[in-house]
Amino acid sequence: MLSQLLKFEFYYQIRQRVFIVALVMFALMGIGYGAKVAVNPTSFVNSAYNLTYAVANLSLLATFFVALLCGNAALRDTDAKMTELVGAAPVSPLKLHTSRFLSYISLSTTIFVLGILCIAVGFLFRDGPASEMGPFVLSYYLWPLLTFALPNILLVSAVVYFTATVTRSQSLTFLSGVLVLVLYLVGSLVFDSPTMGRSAQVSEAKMTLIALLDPYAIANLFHQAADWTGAEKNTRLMAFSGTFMLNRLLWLGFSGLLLFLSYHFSVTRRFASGKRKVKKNAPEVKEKEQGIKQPYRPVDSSQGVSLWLCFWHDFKLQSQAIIKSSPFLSLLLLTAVLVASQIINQISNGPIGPLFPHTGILLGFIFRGLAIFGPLVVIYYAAELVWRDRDSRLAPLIDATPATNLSLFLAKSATLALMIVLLGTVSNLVGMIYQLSRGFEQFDGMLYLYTYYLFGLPLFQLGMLCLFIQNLSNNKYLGLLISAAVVAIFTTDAAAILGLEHNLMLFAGTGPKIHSQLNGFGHLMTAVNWFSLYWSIATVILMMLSYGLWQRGTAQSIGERIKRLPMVWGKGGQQALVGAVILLISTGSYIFYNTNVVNAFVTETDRLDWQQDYEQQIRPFSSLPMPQITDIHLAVDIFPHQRSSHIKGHYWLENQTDKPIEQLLLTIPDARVKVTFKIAGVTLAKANERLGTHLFDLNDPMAVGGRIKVDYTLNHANQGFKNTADDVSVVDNGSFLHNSDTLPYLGYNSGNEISNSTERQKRELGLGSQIPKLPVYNNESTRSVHGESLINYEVVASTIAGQTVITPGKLLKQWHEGGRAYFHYRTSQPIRNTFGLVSGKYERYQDQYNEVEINIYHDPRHHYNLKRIANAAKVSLAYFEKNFSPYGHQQLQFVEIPYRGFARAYPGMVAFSEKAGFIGDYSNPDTLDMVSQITAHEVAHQWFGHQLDAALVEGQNLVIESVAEYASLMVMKKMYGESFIKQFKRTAMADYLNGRSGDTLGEVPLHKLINQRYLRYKKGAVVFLSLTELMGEANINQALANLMAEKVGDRQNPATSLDLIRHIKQMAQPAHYAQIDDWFKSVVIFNNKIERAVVNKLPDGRFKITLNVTTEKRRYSSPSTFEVEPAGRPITIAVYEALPRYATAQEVLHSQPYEFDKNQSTVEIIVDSEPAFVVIDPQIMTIDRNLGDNQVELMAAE
Amino acid sequence: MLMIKSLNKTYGNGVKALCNIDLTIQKGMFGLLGPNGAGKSSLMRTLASLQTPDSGSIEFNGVDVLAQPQLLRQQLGYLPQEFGVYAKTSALKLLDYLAVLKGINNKSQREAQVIALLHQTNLYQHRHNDVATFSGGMRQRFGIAQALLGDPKLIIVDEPTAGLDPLERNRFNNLLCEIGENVVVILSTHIVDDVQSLCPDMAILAQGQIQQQGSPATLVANLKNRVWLKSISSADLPQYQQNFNVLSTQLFSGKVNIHVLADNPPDNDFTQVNASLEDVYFSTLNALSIEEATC
Repeated sequence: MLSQLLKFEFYYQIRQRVFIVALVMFALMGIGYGAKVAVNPTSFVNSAYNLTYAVANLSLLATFFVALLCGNAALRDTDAKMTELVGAAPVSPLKLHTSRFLSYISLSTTIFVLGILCIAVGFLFRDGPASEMGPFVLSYYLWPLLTFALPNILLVSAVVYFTATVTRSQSLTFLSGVLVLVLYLVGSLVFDSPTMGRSAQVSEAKMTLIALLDPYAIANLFHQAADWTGAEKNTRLMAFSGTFMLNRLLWLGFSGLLLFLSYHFSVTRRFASGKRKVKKNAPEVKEKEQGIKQPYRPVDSSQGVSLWLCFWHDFKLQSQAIIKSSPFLSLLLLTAVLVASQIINQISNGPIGPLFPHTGILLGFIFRGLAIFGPLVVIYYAAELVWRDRDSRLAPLIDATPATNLSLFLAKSATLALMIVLLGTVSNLVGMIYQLSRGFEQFDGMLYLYTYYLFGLPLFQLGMLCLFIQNLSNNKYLGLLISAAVVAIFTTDAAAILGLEHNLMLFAGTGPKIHSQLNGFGHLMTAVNWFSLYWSIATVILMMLSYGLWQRGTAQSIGERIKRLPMVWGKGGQQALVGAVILLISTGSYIFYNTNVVNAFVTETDRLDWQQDYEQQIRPFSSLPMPQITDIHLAVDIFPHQRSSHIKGHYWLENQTDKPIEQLLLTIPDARVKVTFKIAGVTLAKANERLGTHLFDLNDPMAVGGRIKVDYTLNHANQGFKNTADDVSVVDNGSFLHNSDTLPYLGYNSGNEISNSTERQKRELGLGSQIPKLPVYNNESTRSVHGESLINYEVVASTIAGQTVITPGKLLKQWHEGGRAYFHYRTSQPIRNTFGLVSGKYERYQDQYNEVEINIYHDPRHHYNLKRIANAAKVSLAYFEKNFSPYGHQQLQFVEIPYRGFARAYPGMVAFSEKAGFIGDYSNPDTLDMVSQITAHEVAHQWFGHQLDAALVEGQNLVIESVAEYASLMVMKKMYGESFIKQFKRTAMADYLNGRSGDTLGEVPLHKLINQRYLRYKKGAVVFLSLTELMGEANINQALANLMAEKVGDRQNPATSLDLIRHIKQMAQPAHYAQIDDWFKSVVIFNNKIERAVVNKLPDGRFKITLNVTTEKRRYSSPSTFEVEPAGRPITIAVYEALPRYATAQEVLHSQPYEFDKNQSTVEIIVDSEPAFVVIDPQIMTIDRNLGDNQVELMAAE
Repeated sequence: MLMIKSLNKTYGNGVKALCNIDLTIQKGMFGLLGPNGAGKSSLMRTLASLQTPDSGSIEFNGVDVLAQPQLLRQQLGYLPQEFGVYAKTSALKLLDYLAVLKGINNKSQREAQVIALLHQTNLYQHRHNDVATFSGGMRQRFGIAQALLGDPKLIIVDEPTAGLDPLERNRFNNLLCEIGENVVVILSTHIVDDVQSLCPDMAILAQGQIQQQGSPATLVANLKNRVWLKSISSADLPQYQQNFNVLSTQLFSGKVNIHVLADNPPDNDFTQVNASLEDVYFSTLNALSIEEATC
């Protein structure tokens, strides 16, 4: 019996169109995923981790079709009005339910398994070296299928089945399935789960909670695999234990409970015929009018229907029904929660700490929150709106009325628009309430309106597309699937994968909408406006087609509806359509003219082609000896509103090599810039306009020590607008010219090479230019690592009146001429060849340190941290001058610049992005004052980077960046004491471990680091802070001073990381050499852990603590192989009376280093009073893969 | 005046729903009789502009309905055989909404008519209740009310009295009769009595074709003196059905009364009875089962 029922269910289901479409779509998705999606590059494509990741994430997407299929099946009887027939059949309800549920679980699983198999098929289409693939191992597919996908499918099915049984409502049923996904997303964002791509440190306890509650268990993958290295990821499967096991059991149990409840519910209600309880008649009001009985009389309606009235009444009815419905209200509520959590999390956990809630900043979070619900809302409600009449079977009544298609359609569109407006308004309100709650005064109401324009309008356009699709589809669920697919393509990376890069092809695409505090939306709005206009016209056409093809009556094929189009449109409509098409084509042409004719339309492939051409054509010249720039004189005219600049300048070059120089290779960084060179005694040998390269033959070779003058003009103009992110060098407010992005450079730039190794292999480019290896002191390679010459820099810059120009050097003169402001700067001593030139409307904050003038140029609204910056600068200058050497400049300028996310040190000047501290909120004493730290770091570069140069070899950034970070932290210690350092170290440790897990190049020891941020800043900080504990701050500073004394000015042998280590060792005790080598020259990671702690009260009133301790030391010989060795040095164990973080010295009951000669040890400690916590390695002297398990709260056992 | 010419409709699955329908319908009530699946609803839907025919033409008061459905819809009152309503919407609200869609733009006129129709259909005291919670009969009455909104010149009602109790059915028939004096009313039903008592003109539709058309009286007259009654035992029924043109059978105190169509009394036990419209209906259907369908 059961098997027959199952057979029938199968037979029935697989003929459903929804099933077939879902199957095909999921299969395509699998292939697409396999073929295109970037997988974790540290391990094989076919690795266990990558497959687990894929299966787990696809099980998220599967929610949609599982909900659709199950909802469809669970409500089949009700829909087809078969409830009573089926209910009356002599089948045991248990069997009926079981067969039904089993059948669609297996169908969903079938679809899913096929999708997963298609990933493997997709892998075959991957272009990339076979070596990346790795072996196909079936269990890597099956295990995640079993542990992730099946329980997830079961969960969604159970929720849907339960809802279907209890409510019998189709829309609620489908929604309930999607709700699981929505709750997951919201929960992840609210809890700041790592599944949302956040790298912020999450405490172990919170992570365990997230991992436990995540209904899809995806957080567990991040939880378990947080520190797996690439090699481990290749073969390691999720261990079914701990939190992961609990999570799966929890949600399986929940699914089981729901199924039991649905069964129970349906049995008890079996013969209630499935009709909802009849609402009691509304209380009868004895109305007088009841007596006034008027007979029926026809009312003349021959004047025709009113478009407006029909629209208005239909709109009222439709929108009230939806907006008052609980699903939509819950959706609004969820949106509010999501946006609020986005704002609260992001604004307090940014990379530089909490921010002041400027509206422009909030807008970004609001958009991010809305981006999740917006598309879901239009996909789902477009279906509801189109199908409501037919689902409720009111359609024949409405279709037979003379109401026009136009009015009926417009009412639906307006309803959708209203919903979008409500979503936006709720989000805006959340933003405003947040601002009010923070007591924030700069309430930029106008900016909030952009929510409607930048989020609402494109969403409305997508909504109209969905209405159109639903209108053509003759099945609601088919329409849902197609709309979902189409919207997904246009709103995710899928478009780029399909090669849709031009916004003219991306429905509702407008290009970047980046808001800057300084520059607003700026010129980027031009492109956004044009694209918005273009897609609005396209939407109008789509809407005309929609109402023209509006389903009226039954069984009208598309062909019939198309035939009726002209009639429905009428003359006016047809003319309007023609007009709209002409308008669309004109707008499109105008856009195309701007994006592809006036400006070059550069695809990703074009970019890579350019890089390939540059490398292939110019790399042969990389060994040409080039002279050094010694003088730079510029006349710069900046035209902010035209976004153009005109530069007239000259270089003096000097042959500092030991051979005569015969050729000059000059390249402009941006090949679009018009350049002219004027050099005496040269012949242009070769020029490539596309690459921006100019090779000159010198008629008379430049003798050793000889000089030559290079005159040039650069004309940088921006015209029209572009398809994608536009040039932001010259903008209305906050123009920022960086020398190496603007001025011609000499020789070959290996930075232009394609760095992605897969892409290089595909293009058969061989090995790219490599940074020279350590050690470097052999005869041949020394030349390449020579430091650059210092330069003399002088500039006369002009900009529009009202703006100020800031650049390194002393401001000699400032004047107005022809309505423009002029500034004349010159350096008083040679500087390193790195400088920026900024023009903007600034307020100036002034301060003074001895002879040094400190200026902070900032946006008038960003006054929060001026004192902090000035103070940090002063403390830094004092500390560095005392410990290292004199500062050397007469001024220190800080300038706020828009858009970018960095702070950059120039000689005597720091360009400080608006995002890097000016709006940071450090009023809470518990938050790390990151703006001061960044300030100190950039000031430190005036010594490490500008005074001390490092050889361009491996480890260069240890000498420059790690040391600057160390120096800045010492300043912070001076300002805030030890607590800052401790807190900073913990975060840095976590960031380091996180970064190493995702390193695509493979981790190297610190002294050989290339460019990895997590090494140069994070491990660098951890190591230097530990070093401070080991040998004392003074000794390190002395070592650095010694290094500077030896290397500053030595251009033949600039400092390397080996020099740094040598000087450090010189100041350290020999006993510490091994430790120092472990830190700088090896990759060593500990796994210290307190496994078990038992406290016993002794008869004498003291307490005995017995600890089981793990002290595992791993030495990595390659990114994936390590050997475990003894700790080799003592590790401290400390016992506290209070929370260690806040413990005072009196509350430390015990602190003592222990020698551990094996990995598992037992330690006994006796303390005088009752202990509360025990911590291993409280100073964090070892790099520990998990700090969370180093501390245990003690409970006294009798 | 409604003129239907050579109307044809074949559905995608091959079913011929309408086959060369030619009808001319004058003002007044027109009854459309036919068994299940005869094509009644297809014809009604086509007339209500909810479905397009494959070929043929429909003209109403000089308007080409197929080319200008909008003009027809302005004059149409339509009660389909099956319909539903929005959930959580009161009768008053829904009726008002439909009245707007029908083009009653004046608010006070609309309210007055809606109230009048609610009274007329005995729904007034339920006007604030969800239509979705109405019983079958109440919902049918709501359907009737909405069909009469505005000033319909063509009223198409498909099985309007199905599910109504006799009292309500009478009320409805009276109302229809009253309205039918000035407009075209097409009443599709299989209650022969209703057609007989209400409709001056009628047609019998079967297998997608018009089998008979005329006034009930004329059609009945064709059978004058040709219908015979006999009371037989049910065991003998098959034998009679084989030998005679049995129009109808009716159980009557344990026996079966049969009507047989014949020019002369089939045997002596038959007595002549007055032909009824029901006899006309069954004789038409019987004739069909003998002939082959020609369309």
